[in-house]
Amino acid sequence: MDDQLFLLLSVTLSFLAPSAVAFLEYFQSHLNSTKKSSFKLLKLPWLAFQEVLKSMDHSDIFMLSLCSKNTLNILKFRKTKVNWLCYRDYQNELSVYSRQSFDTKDLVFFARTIPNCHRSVGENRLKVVRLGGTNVQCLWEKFGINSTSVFKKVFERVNFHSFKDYGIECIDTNRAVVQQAVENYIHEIFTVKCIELEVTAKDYLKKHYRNISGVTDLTLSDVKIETKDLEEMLEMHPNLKSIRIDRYLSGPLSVDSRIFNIDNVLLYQYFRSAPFFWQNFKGRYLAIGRGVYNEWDVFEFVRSWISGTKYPHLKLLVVTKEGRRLNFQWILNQLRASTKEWNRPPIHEYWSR
Amino acid sequence: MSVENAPVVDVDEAAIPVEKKMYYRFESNDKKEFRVSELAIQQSETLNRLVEAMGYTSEDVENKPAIAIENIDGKTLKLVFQWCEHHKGEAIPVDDGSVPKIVEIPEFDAKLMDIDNGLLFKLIWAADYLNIVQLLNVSCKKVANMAQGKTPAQLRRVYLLPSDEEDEAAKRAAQEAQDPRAREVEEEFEERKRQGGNSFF
Repeated sequence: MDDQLFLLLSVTLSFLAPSAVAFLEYFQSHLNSTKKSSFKLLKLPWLAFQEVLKSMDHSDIFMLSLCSKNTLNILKFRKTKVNWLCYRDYQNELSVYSRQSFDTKDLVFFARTIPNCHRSVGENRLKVVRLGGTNVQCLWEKFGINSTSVFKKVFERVNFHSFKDYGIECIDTNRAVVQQAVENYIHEIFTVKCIELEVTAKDYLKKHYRNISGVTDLTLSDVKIETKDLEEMLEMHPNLKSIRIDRYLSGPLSVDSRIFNIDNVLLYQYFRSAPFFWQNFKGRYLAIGRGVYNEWDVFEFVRSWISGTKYPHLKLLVVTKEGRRLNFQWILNQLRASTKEWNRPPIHEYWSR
Repeated sequence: MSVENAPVVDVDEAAIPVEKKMYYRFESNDKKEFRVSELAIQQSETLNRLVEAMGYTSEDVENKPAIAIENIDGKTLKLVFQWCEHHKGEAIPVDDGSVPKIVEIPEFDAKLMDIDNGLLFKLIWAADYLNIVQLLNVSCKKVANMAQGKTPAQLRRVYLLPSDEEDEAAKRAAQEAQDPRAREVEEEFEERKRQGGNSFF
């Protein structure tokens, strides 16, 4: 029927204007190519449709959920499993990644809040996206290898392992609203096993993005952090399984600090008595960078660990030393150690996972 | 092995293989006949169980009519059997639960699936119907790859996803088609409401 109509129109118009025929031909070929390149995803049998979703990246599933209420409802009904979701907070940016392993990241969502006075975009590029019951005004911005947009700069800086051609820029000064909306939305369509929150301590202390719930892994980077603030954070996230502090920890720790109850702890720059930390530590994996200790501390630790009188849960301890080098031969002689073949695990297994 | 050289033999077009292996005959809904090796059939759980239940001997295969697969056309079935012949003897993969699912599309499969999306849709439908796990995996991966790096607007075009307004219109149309009286009742109700009546009855 469409072809007949097209033929009739072509014949009629060919008498009137040859350019009109050319336009119609172009229009029909465009229509055909669109039809040919389209795939009726929602008409697939349910099992096959689920297989498609299983093969999709999490970021694509997120985008699919924004297509219509229908796709959102389907994705809510069939929640996608995410093993490890990472919220990264940096100044006025919130990035959400899914991770399959320690060294891979797939960007699911990128939100950047911009003050109203800095808006320099046309209204036609603004979109309202309904996230977790909240309307968030967004800007669709293409970024690519040769793009000079903000996204490229951001992506270069944080060195993403994989990234998509599009991000979302949220035009909203209220970071907490965006954060809450994103978090609610993510939990509507994904079932998350572990939630990692990566924040700069500076932002944290300004009370930015403090309400991410169910955090299991916490990373604090960039600036030194006071122990009292640390305790406050640990109280806020009681279900932590791991914590990583990239910079200096300032102030004394009390023996009943919550940090000693966390399963995996990594302190990059400790600069204090490492034996105090490991003696109070009740978790399984501990890595301390630049700790202060001597040969006798190591000897005492190994002897009590091997005899089982202390550290019942500890599986791994890694401590790098601040100051002079240790006399390992003295320790080995004291322990009467013998040589054993051992395959050393990869370095990241020493850390928080 | 290229798609063209895959060892599927269409009875109408090519010679029957002289090997002594067991070959089953299948017929599509447009009456095209295919001969498929016993080993290739094992890739499809549905067909494998079917031929086991039938208990055909070599003579039965020749003398009895071809097994009809009434839901799938010849073009699609040809692709399915080409795939099965190429992958015959391979282990059927088990879902390890990883998300996103790690699926690599081999070169042969990529060439086989270099088809228009209408046929790809039919191929997935057939793989699902015949329960060919690996074919379903690779074809669904191809569909999933179409979404990579797309915005919602682009996804709507690629996957022909109706907008909210179109969904609403379709829902209304479906309701009206299902119950023509409903519209009349609604109009009557609106009319009475305008006239100031409190109750419909």
